[in-house]
Amino acid sequence: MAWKKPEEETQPTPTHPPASASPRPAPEVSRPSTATIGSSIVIKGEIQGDEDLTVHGQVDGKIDLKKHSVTVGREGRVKADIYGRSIRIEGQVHGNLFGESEVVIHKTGQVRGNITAPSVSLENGSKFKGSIDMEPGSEASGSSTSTESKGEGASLRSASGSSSKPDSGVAKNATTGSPVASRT
Amino acid sequence: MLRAVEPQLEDATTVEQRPSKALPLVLSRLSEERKTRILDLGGATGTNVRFFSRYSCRLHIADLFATLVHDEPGSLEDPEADFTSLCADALDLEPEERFDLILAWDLFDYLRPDQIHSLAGLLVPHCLETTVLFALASYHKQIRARPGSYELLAPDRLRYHPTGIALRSSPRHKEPDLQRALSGFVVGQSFLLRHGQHEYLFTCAAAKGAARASG
Repeated sequence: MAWKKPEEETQPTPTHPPASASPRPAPEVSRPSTATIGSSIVIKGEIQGDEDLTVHGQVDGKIDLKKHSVTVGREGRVKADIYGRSIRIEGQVHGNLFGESEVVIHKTGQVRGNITAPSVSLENGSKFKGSIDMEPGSEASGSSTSTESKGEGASLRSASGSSSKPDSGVAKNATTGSPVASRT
Repeated sequence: MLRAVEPQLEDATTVEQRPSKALPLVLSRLSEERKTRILDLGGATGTNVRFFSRYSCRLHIADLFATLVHDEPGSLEDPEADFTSLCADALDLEPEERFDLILAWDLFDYLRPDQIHSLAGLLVPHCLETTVLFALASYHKQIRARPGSYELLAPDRLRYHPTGIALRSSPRHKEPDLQRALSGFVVGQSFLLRHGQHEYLFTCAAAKGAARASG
C-alpha cells in the first residue's frame, strides 16, 4: 500500500533579514493534512485514519473517516461504503455514502448506492442511482437545500389534504390543462 | 370527442419550461412530518433532490431507461429479451420497499405496451392502496429519441431538458392503451396540456384490492 502525501509546505524564505536580531519561533498553524491515493494504487480492505483523504486510484472495501473529508477524484474508482464528514465524488463509486455534514456529487461523478447526509448536492451531469434520505431539519445547516423556491415550499406545506381523490377509482377528471384541446 | 391541435415540436435542443396540472395534486401531500417514499424512474437531477429535500422523504432514483441502455444495450429493442428480468435488475428494489409516489415522467413513451405491462407487474408489489403514479404521454407525432430529464422548479412547473437532438416517431399512447398496459393501475385523473403532453395520475387498484382482501 503506498500513500502519497503532498509535500510539506515550506515557510517562505524572507528576502530581507528580520528587523529583530533575536529569532522568534514561527507560530504553529494546525492544518488538516490530506492523504492521497495515487491513480496507479489499488487498495483492498478498510481505510481508517485521522486525516482527510483523496482517492485517485482504486479502493475496494470500506473507507471510514467520519471526522474528515473524503474526495474521490476524477480517476478514482471506489467499491466501498464511505463514511466521512464531507464526501465529494468526482469519479466512480459503487457503495453507500454516509456524510456527517454533506455529500456532493460533482458533474463527473457517478454513484450507485444510497446516500445518508444532512445535505446532498448533485451537480448537473452527475449520475446517481440509489436512495437518498431527506429530513427538512437539515436545511438550516447551510445545506444545498436552501434554494430560490423556498417560498413555494412554504405554501406547499400549508396546503393540507389532497384534491387528487385517489379513491375516486376510474372516475376520471379529464380536466383540460389549456384551451387548445377540449373534451366534449 | 377529443379535439386537439397538433402542437409544434420545439427546437430539439431547447430547454423548455412546462406547466403541470397533475403534480400539484400529489406534491401537496408532502410534509415535513410524515416521511414520503418516492420512486423516481427517471434520472437524478440536483434540482429535484433540492426540491424534495424540503420535505421529509426518501427518494429512490432508479434511472431506469439509462440503466437498461447502459447495462443491457439493445435489450429495449429486442423482442426476445426477458424484459421483466432485466427491468427487475435495473430497478433493484428491496422486496419490502413500498412507495407513496412513483414518478414515471415520459418513460412510457419509450416502452412498448408489453414492456409497460411487465414494468407494471414489477411495480404493483411496491405499491400501497394510496400510491399514485405520475406519467406523461406525448401526443406529438415525433418525440426525442431518448427520454429527457424533468426538473421540478415548482409543484406546477417543470423544466424539460432534452437528451440529444435525434427524433423518433411517438407511440402516442391513448388512455385506454395505457390503462390496458398498466395492469393493476387505474387512471385517477388526467390532464391534456397545451405543449403536447397528456398528464396522468394512476392509482394502484391491485394494492387496493389486496388491502380489501386482507382487511
